[in-house]
Amino acid sequence: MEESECILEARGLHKSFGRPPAREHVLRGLDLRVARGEFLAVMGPSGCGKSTLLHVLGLMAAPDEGQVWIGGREVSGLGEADRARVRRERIGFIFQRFNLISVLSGYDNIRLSLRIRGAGDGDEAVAALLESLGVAAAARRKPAQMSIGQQQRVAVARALAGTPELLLADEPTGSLDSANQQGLLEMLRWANTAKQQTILMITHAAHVAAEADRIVTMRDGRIVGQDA
Amino acid sequence: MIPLPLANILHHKVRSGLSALGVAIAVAMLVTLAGLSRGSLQEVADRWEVVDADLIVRPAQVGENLVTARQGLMGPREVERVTELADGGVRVFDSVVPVYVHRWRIAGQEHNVVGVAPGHLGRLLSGGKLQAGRVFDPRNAFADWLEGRLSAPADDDEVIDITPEELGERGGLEMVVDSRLARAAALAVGSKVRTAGHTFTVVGIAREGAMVRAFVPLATAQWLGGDPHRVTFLFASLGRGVDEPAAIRAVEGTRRLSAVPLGRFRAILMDQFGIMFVYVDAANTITLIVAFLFVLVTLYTAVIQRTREIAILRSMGATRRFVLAQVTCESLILTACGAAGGIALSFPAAALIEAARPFLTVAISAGWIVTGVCVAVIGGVAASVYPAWCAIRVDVCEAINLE
Repeated sequence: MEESECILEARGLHKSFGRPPAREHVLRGLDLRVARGEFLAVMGPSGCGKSTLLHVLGLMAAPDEGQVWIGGREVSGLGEADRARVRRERIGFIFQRFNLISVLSGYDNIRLSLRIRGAGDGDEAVAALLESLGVAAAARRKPAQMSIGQQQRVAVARALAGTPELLLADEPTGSLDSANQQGLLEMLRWANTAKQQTILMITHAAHVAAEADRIVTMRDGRIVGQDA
Repeated sequence: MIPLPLANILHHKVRSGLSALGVAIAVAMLVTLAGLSRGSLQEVADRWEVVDADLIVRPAQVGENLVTARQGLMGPREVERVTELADGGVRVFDSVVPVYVHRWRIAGQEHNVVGVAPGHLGRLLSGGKLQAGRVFDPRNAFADWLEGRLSAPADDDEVIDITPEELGERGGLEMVVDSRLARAAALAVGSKVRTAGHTFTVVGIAREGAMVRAFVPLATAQWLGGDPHRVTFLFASLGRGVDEPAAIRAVEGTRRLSAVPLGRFRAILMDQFGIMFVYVDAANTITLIVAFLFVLVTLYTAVIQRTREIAILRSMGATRRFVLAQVTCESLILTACGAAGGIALSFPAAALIEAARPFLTVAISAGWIVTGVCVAVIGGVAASVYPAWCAIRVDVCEAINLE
């Protein structure tokens, strides 16, 4: 892979939690490169450090050692405000439990995201996005009044709004039935192909990972294998 | 789009409503009690300032306690001396109005009742005229009759006895009340008022704003006080070309008397009752602190309940400043609603107090309304500091996975 194609790179990441003697070493010198426009799945058993990796790559946690590079720039050493700016400008998150803000309607969840990203309300774009995801009507309601599938679609729409170049998805199908799982994967594939968004998806389900361009496998805080 | 702080408030209507109500009660209490304590005193000061005079002359030993004290009285010689005071051949005072002050219970409350000569009554009234009826003892007949009785030759051990009936028949038991007392006690011209062991007849109604709420003939006040010919103090008007300091020096030159400008009465009153403001302000402060602690607890609870949502905001790229602004904004909305409610509440509260206690004045001033709003804003920001601090310290990775 050429250097210029790399949008996300992890070099020698270490991350531990807790204090000795109960200190847990979750990431153990992890290296990873993700090419621009790639759809990458990260698989591995529970507790292998997948979610921690996503948090570190998404700049929500700082590594103890090692570096994270996004778009050719080392970002893991940035201060809190600058890391927030990188998240705002370049990264969209999709979580397993959707994480919509319960007091806002689906529409307002997306509008809030756009405002934080400094992209204004983008009413027409939001409506078009929700329309294309088939939840234009449901998104007028609050999350508690939507079905699980609708919530997940709105959560995806929120992550896609503003078209961040990097989508980080943490077990995005974990709470969905098989029909909704397939719908979600189609949405991710659409974002990847139609919007040229790079996707890094954490999953422990092989059939979900199979939708990606490349699968890397984690064990004990390291990448132990990959399938193209 | 509905702003997030407002959405949070509307989502928790009861909790938010109770917080705002707490602030509303505190602000209403601040505005109303400040208006009550200061308003009643200001109203007394306003009434005294209508008196057509420049100085109050009283016995030196009275000090500045002009409203309620009767520690000393002035005899006829002192009154005459003040009247005839001269400075460089110029009369110091153009005129003096002797008054005799009683504290009598009328319509369930003690009032200052001033005895004044019928001819001087107009100088103690707002606008100088009565609103209805007439002046008491208009021809001074009672005063002359009483003077005659008092000056008639008598044996050394003879006790001058004047019955209430005689006082009444001679016009000594006539009274002028102001319209506020008339309204509160349902008095009109011709009504009877039982006070100080006698039954007075209301003969005139003065416009609200007269120096005191009830006036009687000076001779009656002196007789019932057991001090014929003596007075409590004098209202004195400066002679042409005489300035206040010179007049005060002239009065104080008598050694037994002192004088204070009528314009200083308000300050004296505020000094005299200033301790009351300390109590009222302390009570208000405590109430406000409790109210804002309530807001703090509400916000703190909200932040604790919303750690995952705060983490979501952070994951979307929201800065700590943005999160801090959301919490502060929520607090300010709550306290602003509370302040607005409190100010709105203070008007019916004032009306209620004045209905229950007709002689109290609750002056809701723009100054105290502004103070209430400022206190609410400052309190709102202060109450949000700790919850906001907690909010920005949320561990995003931990909170994002909270159930």
